Amino acid sequence: MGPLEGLVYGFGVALTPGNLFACFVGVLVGTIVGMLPGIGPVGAMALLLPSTFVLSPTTALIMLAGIYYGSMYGGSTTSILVNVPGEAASVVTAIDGYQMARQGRAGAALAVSAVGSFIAGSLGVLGIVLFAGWLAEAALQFGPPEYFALSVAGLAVLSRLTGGSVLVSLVMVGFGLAIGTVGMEPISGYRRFTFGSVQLSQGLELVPIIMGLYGVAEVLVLAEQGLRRSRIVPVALREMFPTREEWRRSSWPIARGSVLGFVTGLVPGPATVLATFLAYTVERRVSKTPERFGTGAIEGVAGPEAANNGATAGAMVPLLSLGIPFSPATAILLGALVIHGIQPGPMFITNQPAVFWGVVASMYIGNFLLLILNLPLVGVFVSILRMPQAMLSTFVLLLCLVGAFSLSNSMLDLWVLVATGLLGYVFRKLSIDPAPLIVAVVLGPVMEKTLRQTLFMAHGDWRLLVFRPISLTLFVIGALVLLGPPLAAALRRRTRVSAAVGS
Amino acid sequence: MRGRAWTLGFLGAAGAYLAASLTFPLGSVAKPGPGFFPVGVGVFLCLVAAAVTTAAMRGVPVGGEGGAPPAEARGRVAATVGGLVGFCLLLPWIGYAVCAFLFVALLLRYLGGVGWLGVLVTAGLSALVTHYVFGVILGVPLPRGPF
Repeated sequence: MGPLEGLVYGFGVALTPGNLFACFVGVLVGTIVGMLPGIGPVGAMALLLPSTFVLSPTTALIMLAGIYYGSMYGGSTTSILVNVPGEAASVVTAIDGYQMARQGRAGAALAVSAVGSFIAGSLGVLGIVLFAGWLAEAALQFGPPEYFALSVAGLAVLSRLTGGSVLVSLVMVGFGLAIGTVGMEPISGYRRFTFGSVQLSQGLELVPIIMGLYGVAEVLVLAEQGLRRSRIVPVALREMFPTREEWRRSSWPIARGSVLGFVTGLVPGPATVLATFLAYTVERRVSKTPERFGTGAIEGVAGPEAANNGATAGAMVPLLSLGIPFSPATAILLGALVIHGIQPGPMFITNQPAVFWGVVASMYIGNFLLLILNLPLVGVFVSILRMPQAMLSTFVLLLCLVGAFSLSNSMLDLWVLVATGLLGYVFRKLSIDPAPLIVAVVLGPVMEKTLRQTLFMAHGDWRLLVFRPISLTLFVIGALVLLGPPLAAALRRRTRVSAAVGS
Repeated sequence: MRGRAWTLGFLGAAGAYLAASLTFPLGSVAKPGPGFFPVGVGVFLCLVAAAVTTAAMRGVPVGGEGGAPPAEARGRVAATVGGLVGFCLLLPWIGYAVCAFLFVALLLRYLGGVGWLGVLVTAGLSALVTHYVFGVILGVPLPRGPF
């Protein structure tokens, strides 16, 4: 099936009433969680995962993906109107977006943000169509050594790009890999770290860990801050039209942000957050009047908002074509597929055309629905923010508790939720991002399986692991990204010292 | 150094993990056993945790430079964690509906901003809606308790 034929087929799948409704629910929930400081898209996806067990895999993935990209739209609303980003990918939007709101241009900022997001999302869908098939074909060359190398390189890049200390990120990777070893070992059935518990033999569920680290931890942070009610800048529908000058200023930032976002999404790491900061920096660099940034420059809204939506589309490519998630959100999407007995990878597009093309087409439909939801109905969504935050936070916690229990009707999942929630709160206080831990929990079993397969195949000759062309390239990329900056800095220091001694 | 003592916690956890991993059959490089990968992870963890601790001792910023929250804020966090722990402890004994009602009511009352009527209505609705969605529609066997 060619890309165009596949896309037409996908629209046929996505436009069935059930899938269309799932897409609507997904983008609606995404918009709301994106707006509300609290649970966030990853927590919301984890929370709704149990409710997708009764759905078909296509419908489940359409809904969960809708939450993921829908949250990027919602996040901009609170950034612009309240100066409180609903999630991390909208932090940059608040810089100029809130300044625009204070100058009476909130409507224009929201409109440019929504249209930019729509364009980036739509271009991103085209990117998936073009890149996923190509990458899947290339991935047919991948054997266990390449998958092991890809996982190692992915975790190395993720550790470098996640904010804060690289060493601490590597510790997070280590703990994630360690958590992944809990339970029955897949080859011999040996029980590791189970302490005699039958429930622990199944291993630790990913979803309560994510809910705890993101959902519960966020509520604990809000509880610490005092759960205040937000002050909202009012916005009327008649103000929703940007001027011709504002459109002119926004067009190139939207185009640049879309491409930059998509490319960033392909790379392991906090793609949506990174893309917004990159887009903002690029726009300020190329601007002839960089001094306007920070005082209400519409380019500072258009570029980052396009970038975070482009990144959500880009992040789908490695998941769908390689079966490797590079972010917590795509790890949940992988979990949803695995629960339904589907393993994404190079043969995914061929073996599951309805799921792949249906989800891709639904993203286009979802972006259109989001445009409708986020422009005329922005006032309705904003009114949710008038609810007391204590009420919202308590309800979110209750949803996390019942959601975690419903995964396998196990009290163990509840205790994991509480423990990881407390851990996530401590991480937040220490400025530690838990994303490398989550991704390592998912990639750990893949790494163990492929490492042992390779060593079995090669009768213990480790050179098979390292010296195959693709795996060698991936290891070199990982090593360069991880060790390049400190080595370069050390080299610069040595050169300076030598120069000083010489003079 | 006192503010960075948490890095020693990393090192301790890494050491404990490695020690436990060494009790599993290691196998050989040609035939790796169940302990092969965990031992590798344990060694990696110990190395990076030791590097973080060393960096912290040398004054390199590794995170956690902010101070502790004020007592009142700590109280709110402790109350929320207490509510979560209480929910987990009581759920098998008193059932989901009562447990959810008590959890929402007590937490909402403590965290503030809502009057008693609002507390009771919100707690009742929250327990009812989540019980209906998860217990009835999704068929999750939520603990019933003695009721």
